[in-house]
Amino acid sequence: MYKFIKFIKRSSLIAAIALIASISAHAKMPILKGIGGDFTLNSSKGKQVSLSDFRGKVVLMFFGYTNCADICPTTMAHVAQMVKKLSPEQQAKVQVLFVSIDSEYDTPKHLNKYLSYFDPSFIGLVDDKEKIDHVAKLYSAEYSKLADERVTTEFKKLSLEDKNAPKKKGYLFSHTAKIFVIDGKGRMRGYFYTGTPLKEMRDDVTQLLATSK
Amino acid sequence: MKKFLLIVLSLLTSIVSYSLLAEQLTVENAWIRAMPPTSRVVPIYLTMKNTGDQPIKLLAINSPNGRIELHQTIMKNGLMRMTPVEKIMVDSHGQTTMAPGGYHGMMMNFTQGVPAKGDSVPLTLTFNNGEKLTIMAAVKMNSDETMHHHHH
Repeated sequence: MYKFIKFIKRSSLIAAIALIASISAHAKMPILKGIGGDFTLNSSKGKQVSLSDFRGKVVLMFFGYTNCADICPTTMAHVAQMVKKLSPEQQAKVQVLFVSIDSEYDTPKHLNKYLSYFDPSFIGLVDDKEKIDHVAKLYSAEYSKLADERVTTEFKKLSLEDKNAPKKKGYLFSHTAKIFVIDGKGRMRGYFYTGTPLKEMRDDVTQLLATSK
Repeated sequence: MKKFLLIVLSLLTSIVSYSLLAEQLTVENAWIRAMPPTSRVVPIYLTMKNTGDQPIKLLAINSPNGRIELHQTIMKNGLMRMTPVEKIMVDSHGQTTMAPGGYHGMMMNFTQGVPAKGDSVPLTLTFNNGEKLTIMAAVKMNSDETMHHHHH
């Protein structure tokens, strides 16, 4: 029992330290160790892309899929709005990457059309599932495919009623809400979320660009 | 003349029935996110206000332009997922907003292609009290697009 209390005490201390760290992290975006790393994937621009191609740029990376109705387009529109608020010089030093977790459906061409709609400079990455899984693991970007029973049944019913209805099973993904912020040296510096205010994102990106010179 | 009267009469009835319902329930700011023409799904957002004494549940949204499911984005342990819901509650003297990151309509199987920016899409909302309300949803890039116009 005593051990347990000690454990609680210790963990609350750790939690407090973590809290302080996260507060100062917000102010300075320190280098996050033990997460991230370089990778190479097929891109929506028609050739392979490595994270190291973007040295000197702030990279904002998001994991999603194009058949996602709500969060993915909301996030892309949100990030696009933030990028528009940057100066042209800053814009040239920011790269948005959208890693598709739906390698079965999202082709590079489809991703390009999708992302160009938000901002032509955005690059989509899609590759064999194993390669995507590897990147997801590097960044602890958990995701999983949910075979949704109701959606599946609904789609089956539809394809019976209408020959033109999609034959594919209905599916939904569960995925991380984070936008990974990577500095000009390929180091993880923090996270944004769909709800992060535009000004806060812009201030952090501006600061990262200023300090990485 | 007879035809004209009939039109006026039906117009009046529709106005009367609309305002009766409008007293209790109003739908505002309905919008659809403008998405690439290659999209398979687009989201629908709106705000429902219930001034009545009874809670009301939204059961379905229908449109001649496509099939619509009611969905909710749920955040759990840092993971987001979307899940279909059977109803969306609007409390008495309350309001429910369907907005990015929460409740939304997921529109698919488009009959007239993916709604394009500037389009208006008719939506019919069906509620558990049997009421149906037809509104027009504006297709735009962001929710605050109209707000910008007000500011300038």
